[in-house]
Amino acid sequence: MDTDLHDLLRGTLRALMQEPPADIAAALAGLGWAEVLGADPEDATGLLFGEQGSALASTAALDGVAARVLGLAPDTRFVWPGLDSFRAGGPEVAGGVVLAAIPGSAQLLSGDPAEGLDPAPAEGFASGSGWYVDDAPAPPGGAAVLGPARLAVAEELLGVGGRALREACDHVGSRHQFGRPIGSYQSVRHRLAGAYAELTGAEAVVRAARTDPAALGAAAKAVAGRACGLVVAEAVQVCGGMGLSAEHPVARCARRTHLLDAFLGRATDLTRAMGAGLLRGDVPALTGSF
Amino acid sequence: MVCATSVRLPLDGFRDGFRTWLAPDGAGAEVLAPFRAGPAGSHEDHVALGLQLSAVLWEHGWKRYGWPETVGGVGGGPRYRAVYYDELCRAGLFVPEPDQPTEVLAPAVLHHAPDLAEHVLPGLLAGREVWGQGFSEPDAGSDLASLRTRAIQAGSGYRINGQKTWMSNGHLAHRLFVLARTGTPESRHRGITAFLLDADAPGVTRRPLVFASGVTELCEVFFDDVEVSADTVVGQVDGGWAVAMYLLQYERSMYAAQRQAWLLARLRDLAALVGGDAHPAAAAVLGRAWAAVGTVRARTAETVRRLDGGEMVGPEASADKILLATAEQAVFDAAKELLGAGFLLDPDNRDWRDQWWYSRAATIYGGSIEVQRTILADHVLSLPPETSKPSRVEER
Repeated sequence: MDTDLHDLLRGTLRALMQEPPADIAAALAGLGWAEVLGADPEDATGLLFGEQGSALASTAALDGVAARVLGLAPDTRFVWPGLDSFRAGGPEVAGGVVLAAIPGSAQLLSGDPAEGLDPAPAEGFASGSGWYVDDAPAPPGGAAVLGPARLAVAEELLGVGGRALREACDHVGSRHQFGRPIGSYQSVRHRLAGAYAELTGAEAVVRAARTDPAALGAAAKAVAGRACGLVVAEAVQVCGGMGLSAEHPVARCARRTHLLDAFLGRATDLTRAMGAGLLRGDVPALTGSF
Repeated sequence: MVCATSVRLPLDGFRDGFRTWLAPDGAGAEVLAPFRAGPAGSHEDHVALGLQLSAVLWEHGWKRYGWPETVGGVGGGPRYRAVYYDELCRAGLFVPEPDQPTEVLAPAVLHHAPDLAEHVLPGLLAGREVWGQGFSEPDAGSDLASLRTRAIQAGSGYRINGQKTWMSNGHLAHRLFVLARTGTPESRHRGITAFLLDADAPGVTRRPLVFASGVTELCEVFFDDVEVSADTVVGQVDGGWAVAMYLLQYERSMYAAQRQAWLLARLRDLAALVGGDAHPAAAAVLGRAWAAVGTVRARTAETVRRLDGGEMVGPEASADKILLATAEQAVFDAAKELLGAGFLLDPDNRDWRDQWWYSRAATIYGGSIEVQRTILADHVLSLPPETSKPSRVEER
């Protein structure tokens, strides 16, 4: 995708995500998404999820990733395995997250009708996230979807982390204490610079993973989850009390980051799986080549 | 394939050809046999073995990739060299110790002193020389622009007086790449000139320093009325800062490319050493370190491609430096944690201890991690500048 088209598409998606449509598949179809995907699917998917993350938007766009991998219609709806699924032990955990708020049209990857599917809005840490939780079983046919879906969530994490860092930089530039902007204090500057370095590294890993989402999706999600966890921690700290008010963007970034990290494999679990592979002599796939 | 240089291979062909040549049953098996066990013994032995390996790989053509024909290479950019180090480590060999300063210094000499490069680089690249990088001084570490080693005009050349310190391999070096002040003491970065001089020139005294690990790999160098000719100047007189900034791009990218290849190999070694019945925490510790090095790899691959494409690498490369330094420490902290008391006491673990100590320097040399964070805060994040103005609290 050339730079002009890339920037045009980013602007369009940014506008779209300001008020995310209830039917994301239809909205994307209206943008000629099939053609965009045909040209450069991984770059386009990265843009879509990056903007979704940056806007802290909640849509069923991940269903489109699954549909593409499985060769199903773009408006197919999926029930996703729950927050603690796909840990090192594998995908056999009860609990499901429905990314779409339309339970009647939800469909399991296995093709089995979802008996007694009754999604409820997520509570606790995820209150107000736009996510729904159900105890549907994990889909046995979902393995092929896992890598690309993890990569898409990693892209979304980077969008959230980038937003958190921008919000924090804006805040420390305008907030004054002791007669100076707090962003002029080295301790504050160094926290945010360290966060930037982590985020930058994760962005490179995620871009490298676009060359082989099946093999590298887990590494991308592991690195992005960890980096964005660090970024939101620093952002919350430097925004002081304001960053802890429920509706402050930084607090929303933190909630979203921890939710996305828990979804489809936590950073800690995915990195442990990499280490376990190394111990078995099963060297994890390399992120990036020269 | 006896000689890789009869036709210059495309990058993928180079990678595949070199990998095949390096394999245990490859065409290089016989000449590589003395190097399979890796460096052992003293630091001097490490350096000597590195020179021998470079000489073999230069002779067989693989090391000529990525260097211009004017200095004996076959052309191609830094990506070839990154693949070269990557494949060496993948094959269970190692990055020759003298190639670390080579990747930092040689591009600057090529770019800023092409005539001098034609004279001196063939010997360096062919494994006949070691170079030392003379930047740090007792009173100029991360604040490099405050350096005080002076070079004054003397006849048609220069006379150098002063002191450098923490120079890697300085006591083993054939040539020294030295920054010296040619401007006024207050001229900061505007009055600095780069020189490439013979390490055994009269008036040069080198005193090895024993590192915290016990390894003698660093030294301090004293310059007492050292006379050098004008053709030792690299770049413009008073233009040394531009040379240093040019060189920094390669330090951030090519040095990182070497290190990530070597760190991935160290983690594979550590996993094999710890074994399948490791402590339950082993997988988590190893996985974190692997992810950290994998992040360096991804980031460095992008930076090397930018450099290869002719882009200038700017202040954002401070992120590369932070990522590499923290990854190095993660790898050797993993070794320290997983090897238990054996890490401290077992004679067989000496190299892990040495490298653990060296990794402590990773957040110090080449501009400390604090300096890197300040560069990012100033030039990338554009945060409000740090100010020397006292706060109201201090004024009270």
